[in-house]
Amino acid sequence: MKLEHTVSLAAPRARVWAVLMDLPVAAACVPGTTGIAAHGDVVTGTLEVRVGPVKLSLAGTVTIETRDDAAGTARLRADAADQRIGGAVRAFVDVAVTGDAPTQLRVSSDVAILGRIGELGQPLIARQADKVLAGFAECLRATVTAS
Amino acid sequence: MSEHRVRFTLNGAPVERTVPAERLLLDLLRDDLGKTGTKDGCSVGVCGLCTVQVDGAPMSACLLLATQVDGTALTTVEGLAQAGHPSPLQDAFIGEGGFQCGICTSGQLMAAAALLRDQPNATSAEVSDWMMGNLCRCTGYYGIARAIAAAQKQ
Amino acid sequence: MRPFDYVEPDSLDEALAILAGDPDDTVVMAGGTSLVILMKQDLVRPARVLGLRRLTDLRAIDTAGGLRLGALATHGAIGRDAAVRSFAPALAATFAAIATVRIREQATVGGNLIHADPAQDPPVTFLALDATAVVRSSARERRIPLDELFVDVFETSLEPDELLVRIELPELPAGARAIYKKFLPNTRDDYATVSVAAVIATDAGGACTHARIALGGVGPVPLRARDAEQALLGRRVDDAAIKDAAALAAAATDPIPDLRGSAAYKRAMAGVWTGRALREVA
Repeated sequence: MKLEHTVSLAAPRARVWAVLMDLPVAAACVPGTTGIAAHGDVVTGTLEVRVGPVKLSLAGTVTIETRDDAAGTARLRADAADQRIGGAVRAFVDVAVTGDAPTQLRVSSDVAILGRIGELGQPLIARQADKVLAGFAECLRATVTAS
Repeated sequence: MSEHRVRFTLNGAPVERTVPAERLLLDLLRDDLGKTGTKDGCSVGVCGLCTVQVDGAPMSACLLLATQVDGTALTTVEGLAQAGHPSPLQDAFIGEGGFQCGICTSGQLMAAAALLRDQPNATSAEVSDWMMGNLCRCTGYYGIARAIAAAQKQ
Repeated sequence: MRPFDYVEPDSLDEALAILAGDPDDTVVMAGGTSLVILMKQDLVRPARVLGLRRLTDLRAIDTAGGLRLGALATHGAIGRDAAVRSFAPALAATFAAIATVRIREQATVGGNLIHADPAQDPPVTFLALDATAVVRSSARERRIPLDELFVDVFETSLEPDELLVRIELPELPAGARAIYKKFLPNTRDDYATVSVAAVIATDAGGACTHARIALGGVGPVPLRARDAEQALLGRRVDDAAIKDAAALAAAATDPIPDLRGSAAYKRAMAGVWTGRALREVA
């Protein structure tokens, strides 16, 4: 499923980009994420999210697949599996920054649900994914404008 | 993890069993009590193959824990026959072509028996509305509807 | 299904104490029609299931203050109840519209509300009838107006240590007419694609004195179309008024696209079926 989020940030583009590309800091901005650790270029962590009565515990990794600092674009890849239910999530997240104080950040996600988790139904999963990404964008806003 | 003593009557006869909490009524009936008349179809309570009556009310045995029938009077399709003879409803199903492969028939009979007991004068629209939760792939429902109508006339 | 511990207390106080002791790992079971499916799919894995079936007091239906429905009353019992029919035939019809006869005999009104699927039938009519949910924990009782109970898809404002015990409805205004319309283009046992409940009262001159329009299947929670209601007050409920109200009701929706239809389709149907509901109670 494809999800789009755009936020306008009252911060310089360079600062926004620096925070975004600092994966452990960016990962900490995903609501419900714990146990974030960096192993070289790979960040691991666990995302706890509730979809109705079902509790998901998605343990996985985030990496930067491609990156163009000059253009202000990058593609992140996230892979996570649920420990208990038997299913996985794979997301490609394209980020793009334009402008400079205010800086526009566009987050375009392509999320694939694999296995059991899919039984919850696309509409419900899309809703929850949307909330997580919206929370991420908002947290980024707070992070880049603080200090 | 927990185990429970369940006591109920099955087609009028008392039954007592100790079951784990997660035991489904359908599995208790078929595997533990040898009552294989109740069938497992969709496993999610939609198709009606597993219809039983709990204190007369039609319910899906695949959605009931065995513990949920403790203290109740349970009826399965095996309880319809009277002294070894098919009930008038069962005779009507035989006479009117109300089944072909038979897989849905137990559930159809359980649902229809409850309807005829509670609403003997149900109109054909009311019969359809009541019975719509019991799916059939063979008959096209015509034989089932004729059978119920015939049973009503008796 | 995975093994779990099952407890079946004999009293509400005992049930609340069990919940209070371990709210996060205890899952409550009323009729079980939704929970057993989730457990069979292994999507919900409770350590403990708290079965409410022995709390027979919570099945009571009475007419104190209007109508009170115990949370463990089954859909079938409510649909057949003479007091419910005489309170509002549309309410009895709402319960008769649910799923199949087997579900109606096993599932409960309380389980239905807490399951909180936005396409369910009872919440829509309850909203139009100004219902209140009464919930209890060991510590206290809370009264939650129904439009504050539903938070999101499958999510209510019930705390983990609380149980829904009763739904209370006030008497309808004198002369009020109520209707529940369920748009069911798929199979008869399905949830609504969209549904509308409307309650209208008019004065001797035909002007609308009371209007409630509630919609189901048109967003993450069932909702009241308050702008549409306001637009009717003081006005004759004629074709023009109905057309305006229907448009406002559709505009209030935020449908989730799924197998039953796109957002645009559901929004359009919300308008159509609001019009049909209003024409029947004008």
